Amino acid sequence: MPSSEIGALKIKPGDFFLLAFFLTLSILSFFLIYNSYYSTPGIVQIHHSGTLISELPLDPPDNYTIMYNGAEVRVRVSNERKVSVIYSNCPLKLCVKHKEISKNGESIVCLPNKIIISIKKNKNKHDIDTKTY
Amino acid sequence: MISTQKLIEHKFNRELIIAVFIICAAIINIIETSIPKPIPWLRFGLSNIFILNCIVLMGWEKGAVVAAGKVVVAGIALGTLFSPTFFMAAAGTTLSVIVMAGAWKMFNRIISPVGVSILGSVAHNLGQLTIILIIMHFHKSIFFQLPIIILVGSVSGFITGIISLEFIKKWEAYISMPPKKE
Repeated sequence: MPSSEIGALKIKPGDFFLLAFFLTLSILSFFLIYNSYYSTPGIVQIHHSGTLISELPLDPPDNYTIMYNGAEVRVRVSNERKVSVIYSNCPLKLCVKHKEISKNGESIVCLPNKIIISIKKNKNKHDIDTKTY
Repeated sequence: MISTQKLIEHKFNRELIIAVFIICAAIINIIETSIPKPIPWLRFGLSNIFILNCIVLMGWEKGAVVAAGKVVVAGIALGTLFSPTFFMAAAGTTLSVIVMAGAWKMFNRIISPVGVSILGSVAHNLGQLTIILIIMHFHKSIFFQLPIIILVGSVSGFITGIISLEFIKKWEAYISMPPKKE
């Protein structure tokens, strides 16, 4: 080997630089990957008293009307992938006053109509059940 | 000044040292794998100490021999020979030896064996990740392990590197002692 002469070995600043570099890299990639994971918009699910009645995509902005058991709810998916209720045939219209939802796990509830509108992670993209090594 | 490599070849039987290093690395690898852990793949990689010592003290060819011997012996003893686990270990070790040898050859003025160990540890984990990616057909969710793997690799590489550095210092002190006169 070119160097490694006796007594020349000790910790050098380059080692700490490498450690700091990799720690920074891991933290940065953590935020990059997990942000992209959680911001990948999933799918809009509409439940009526517990049963899934329809799933809407977030991608093309559009208005959808849901008619189910006397409930009539009009859902709007906006350009910024945000979901809001623009019309409902319930008396208080609390779901219409609710702010727009855009993240996984958020939901709008219309209690008189028994309708829950929620955004879920797209399960088709993460279909691994278990891993073994 | 005489280089360590010449001293070590002058003083010891080279094949004997390589055999002892292979057995030490394999035994440490087997013990580390057998200890119960919360996550199966979470290991310090202490067997890397012997590969790194070999690269620093005797050159990269002997380091590669020790690494190959360690993978095969540990694979036979653990019963994972030619299973996916074995190929993961083989890919990780190969990449790690290449990176460590290259880093030690090119940057030994800037970094000590500690830095080489960090690089080798991260390279080992990335090599394993590559095999997992190939097995899983480049599934997107594998990349979620990347930050954890780099974090664990750099920290464990640092710890292993410090142990390895002390080990190399002891070796050099021992080698540089004058031979006993009888």
